[in-house]
Amino acid sequence: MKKLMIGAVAMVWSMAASAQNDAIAKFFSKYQGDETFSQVTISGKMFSMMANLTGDTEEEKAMINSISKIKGLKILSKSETRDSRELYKEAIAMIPTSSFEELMAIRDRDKDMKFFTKEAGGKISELVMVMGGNEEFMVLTLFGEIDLKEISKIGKAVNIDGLENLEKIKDKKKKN
Amino acid sequence: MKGCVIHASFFFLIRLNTSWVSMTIKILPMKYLIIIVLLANSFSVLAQTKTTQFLDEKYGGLSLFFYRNTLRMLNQSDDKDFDELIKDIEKMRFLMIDKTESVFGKVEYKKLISDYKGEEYEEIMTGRYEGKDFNVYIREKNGDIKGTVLLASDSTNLLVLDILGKIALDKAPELFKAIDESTDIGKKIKNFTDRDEDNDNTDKKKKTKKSDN
Repeated sequence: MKKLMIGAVAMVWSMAASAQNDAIAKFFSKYQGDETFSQVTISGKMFSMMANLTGDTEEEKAMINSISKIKGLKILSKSETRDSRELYKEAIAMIPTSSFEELMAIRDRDKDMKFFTKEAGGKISELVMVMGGNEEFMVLTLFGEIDLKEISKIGKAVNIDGLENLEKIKDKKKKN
Repeated sequence: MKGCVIHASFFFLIRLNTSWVSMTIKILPMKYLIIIVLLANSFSVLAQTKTTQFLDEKYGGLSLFFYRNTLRMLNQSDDKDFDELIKDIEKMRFLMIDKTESVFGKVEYKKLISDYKGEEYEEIMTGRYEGKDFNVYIREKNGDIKGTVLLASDSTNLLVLDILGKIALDKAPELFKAIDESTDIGKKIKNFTDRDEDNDNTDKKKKTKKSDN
């Protein structure tokens, strides 16, 4: 009976977690077919293949190790659009606050950016970045085992320039 | 590692141009494809996949085949990195189909993808940028990559690169150095990659003229 209860609780828990993930997936699937959006999806297989690379320095090795733990990346973006602010609000509203924590927010004169993380077992399992400007919008989700120390470097390596803002977190910590 | 991570991995350097979050998807694979130009006198071999073979038979278009030995011909300066890059490529096939001459729409593209998946190809990357769709597939056996397929498609052309074997990921940047040659086919490929940029520039010029008037 006890086993049955544990099983039921685990099932409900996994269903709830799945529903949360579905919220972001729903946003992607809503606009993925819209050809006015640009989109990229990279599977975990591709990231795991990175584990076969050999770094020359300790820093490179650490980055390859971090990349190999990423299970997937999805990006959806729209440029030269008037509805970027609405898209930004819609995307932010769809992020389940019960499981995602706001990591950082950046407000510029004409653009907003927010980073959210989701933790599992003391480790970051998902990073969501949402950007809304006057004429541009982007949402990115990176999932797997994420090392925030390395993620800004990964961002540079894969030319996702928004991710370099995560360095500011380290800078703030140093200042403190 | 020579500066390669994702962009070195499978021919696609991701770049989505925005001013602040300047993320870019730039379809580098097209550059890779120019390599084919240098090997235009290669000879035919059997298709790598049934799907590619069927596609060629049904739609015709430009079709080129390469063996590893013909790829080695590229490396006239005996660049070790380049040898390393192509060492695991057994055969390579390139197709370019004119979609305006053949009836090849979204339905056919979806079926093509489905057919590759039916041959145990796994999608590792997919995307769309400036009206161009691209997909990358690999086929593994016992943890070893046996085949790689790259597709790039816009409203007028479909490009297919079907590789039997794999590319050494950490040596990929070296290939870029070797493919700056250009011929008629190279121009076609470049036109494919540059078309939308040109259209954008033309539109902007038109807008500027209108506003001037």
